[in-house]
Amino acid sequence: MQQADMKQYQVSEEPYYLPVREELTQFEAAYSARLPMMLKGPTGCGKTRFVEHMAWKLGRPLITVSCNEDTTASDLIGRFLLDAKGTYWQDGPLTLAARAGAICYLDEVVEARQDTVVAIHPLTDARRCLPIDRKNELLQAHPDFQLVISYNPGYQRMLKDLKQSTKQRFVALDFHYPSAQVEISIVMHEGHVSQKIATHLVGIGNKMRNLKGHGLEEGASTRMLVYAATLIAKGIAPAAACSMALVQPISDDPDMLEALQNVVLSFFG
Amino acid sequence: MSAATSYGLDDASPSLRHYLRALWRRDFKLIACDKPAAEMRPFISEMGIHLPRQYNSHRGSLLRDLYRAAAAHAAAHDAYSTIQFERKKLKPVQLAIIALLEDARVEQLAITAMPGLRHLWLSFFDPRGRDSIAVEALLLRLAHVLLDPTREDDNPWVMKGKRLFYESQSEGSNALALREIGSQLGNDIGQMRAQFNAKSYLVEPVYRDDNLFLWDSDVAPEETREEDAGFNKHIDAAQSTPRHDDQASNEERFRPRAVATASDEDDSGSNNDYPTYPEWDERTGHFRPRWCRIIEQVPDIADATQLKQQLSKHASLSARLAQLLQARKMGIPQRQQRQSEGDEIELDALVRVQAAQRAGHTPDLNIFKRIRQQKPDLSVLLLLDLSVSTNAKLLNSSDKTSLLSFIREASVLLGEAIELSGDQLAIHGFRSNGRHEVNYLRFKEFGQSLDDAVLGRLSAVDGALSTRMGAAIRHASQLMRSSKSAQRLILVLTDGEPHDIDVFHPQVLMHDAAKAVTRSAAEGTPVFCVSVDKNADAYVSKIFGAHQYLVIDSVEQLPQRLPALYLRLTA
Repeated sequence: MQQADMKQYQVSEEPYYLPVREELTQFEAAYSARLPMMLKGPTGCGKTRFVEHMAWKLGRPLITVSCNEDTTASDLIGRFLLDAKGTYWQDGPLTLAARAGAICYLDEVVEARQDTVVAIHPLTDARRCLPIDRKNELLQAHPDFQLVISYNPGYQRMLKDLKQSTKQRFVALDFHYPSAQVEISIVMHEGHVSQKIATHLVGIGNKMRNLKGHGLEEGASTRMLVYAATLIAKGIAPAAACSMALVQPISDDPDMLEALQNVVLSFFG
Repeated sequence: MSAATSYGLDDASPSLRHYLRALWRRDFKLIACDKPAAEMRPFISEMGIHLPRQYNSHRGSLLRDLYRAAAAHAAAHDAYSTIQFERKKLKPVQLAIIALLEDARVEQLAITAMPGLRHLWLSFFDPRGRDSIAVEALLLRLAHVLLDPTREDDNPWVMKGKRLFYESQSEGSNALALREIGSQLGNDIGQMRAQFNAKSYLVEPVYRDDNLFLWDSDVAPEETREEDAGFNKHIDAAQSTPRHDDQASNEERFRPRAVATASDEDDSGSNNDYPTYPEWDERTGHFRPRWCRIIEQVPDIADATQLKQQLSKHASLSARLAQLLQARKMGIPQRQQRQSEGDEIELDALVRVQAAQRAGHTPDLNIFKRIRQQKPDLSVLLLLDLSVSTNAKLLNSSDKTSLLSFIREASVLLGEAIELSGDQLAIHGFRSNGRHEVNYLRFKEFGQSLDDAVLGRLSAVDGALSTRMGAAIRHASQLMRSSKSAQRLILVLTDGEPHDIDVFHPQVLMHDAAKAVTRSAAEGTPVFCVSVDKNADAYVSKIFGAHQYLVIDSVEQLPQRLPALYLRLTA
């Protein structure tokens, strides 16, 4: 059996993360009890960064899987492959994490097909095991293993949602956009801009969030604000940088674009 | 731009509304005034912000900014002008100065939050002709130095005003102090023996509103208000219920229809051929059995010329939707494995073949996988709220179209979209007149094509009566049970809270509707709501669930947004 090099999954340097509330201690408490964790929140508010930070803090390897509608159970659990001698089993990322005691992070898990999602169920209750039926193996999870999923409840999707039987297996942390003060620090640190520019960018972001559900499907994310800051730090004029990073990506509606550009001008006029 | 260009509120308002919503986190009604822009200033009333229908100017590029500056200034008043000043004993020039100081105060507060606004407002101060010491010129010079603190003026009165204003605001924003300063500065003007003509005075610059709302209302000023009064008359006419004779003739056009299938919901039953449904009473925590009676009607076919005309405006939208829906018509991808032929080799099957060969067995050569398109199989029941409020005319639309006409257009566009995509659509509607008479109107059935008859039926109906939503949803859900589609959806299009003449606590019907929605979803027909009531967030989430609704702020967008919503829900 081929042994995966777990070192590559170690988070060696501290990923920058500024706590918004008590989420660091809350996550640590959940981890110490090995409770499966669900991170809820809009896109770009720092869920993935938070998991990286926690993996670093807890000293556990982190295995991330970005789920999409083609993600099958085999993609998570593993499959047989061939070599010169015959077939051999290749662990999937979930199996690898359960074996080695890593944190397995399933990003946007709602995108995966229902049968795939169900495959994680035995790992998320008291059994903490993973049946690998093709191999006739019942894998008992490593004591350090933890499962983390992320989930954006904001999308209005009639026909696609996590089942209750899945949701109720997790403890959840609700992520929101950070408070203005925290978000300004994040934009300054990540985007390398002055406090004044960061304050303006966060102001624009918060104004854009007022339009969520009123023409915008989702407000401007912290990530978008950092992108805008990065462009400004690279020498792009603030209004143009905001147009590139905040206005144009978020809508195609001409009236909305004009309104958003005017919101930008209300700060960088 | 050589010739005078014009730019109207109709052009500006879609974007302005988003802009104001973003900046102030609330919705403002923008109302057009037909008085020539040169003779009026914007004004603020309880109804919203009144702006000239059209601005004419040689400075064409500024016109866009003019609406924005005016709207942002008025919205700043709305946010920060929280007290009314007492008018008594003040001279007209003092009134003008106090209002000017209040303008400066709210602009200062807005600029603290959004610094770019200063630049926007400053662009309307024309520095020419400023050496005049006419009172109007002095007021404008004072307004200018207050908006731009770096600016100096050589007139001692202007600089005194600036100094007093900043002193009064040094310990935090203070509206009350302005009355005292304004009176003092007004007295100075009096001592200069300068003439102030209150009748002809218009606030400058042009983007600022007339500030009349700042004053207590015991003496209503005679000028400019006639606009308001005329406007109110118009509203009354639009929103009043249809006259009785209209309504009667309206009713005659419907014939009740015998209902083929009696309902078999647990404690519902048929009574005199009409299905009845229970209603949840939140106060007692019980269902009232057989409480609401459904009367089904098929409207007669009226002339649909007007509806067709309106629809022709959306030709480009229809074409775009058709394109988008091609993808859905192609079907939803479905993965098939262990196929004898296909697009791709399935890795696991290949391994099985090799393993079998090496073990000396006969391999299974079905090693391909392919993606088959599965035909869409969704039935959507569009349930229209046809209560009297849908007759309301839209004030900011140029041709005073009613809400209902937008609902009709949107229904037909959605119907076309759904037909193109291969899904099924029925269009029904409801309105109620007490629990014994919940009218359920059937415009289009599943499988029926969207022809002139459907358009005619839609055209025949005007809004009337009340909104007993729960009973209508129960009936719709009951009808959906017989659908053979794999996926079913009820889409409720409404403009307000559930209410009815025989229920005095609106909460009761709200809770009942919520029960009906939960029940329907449990039976496999989820209910989604589109509301055009911009204050709907508070109650629709309680009825339909946190992510099961969409609020559309501007009704004009309904025809575009409804098909787009369908695409998103079914994606």
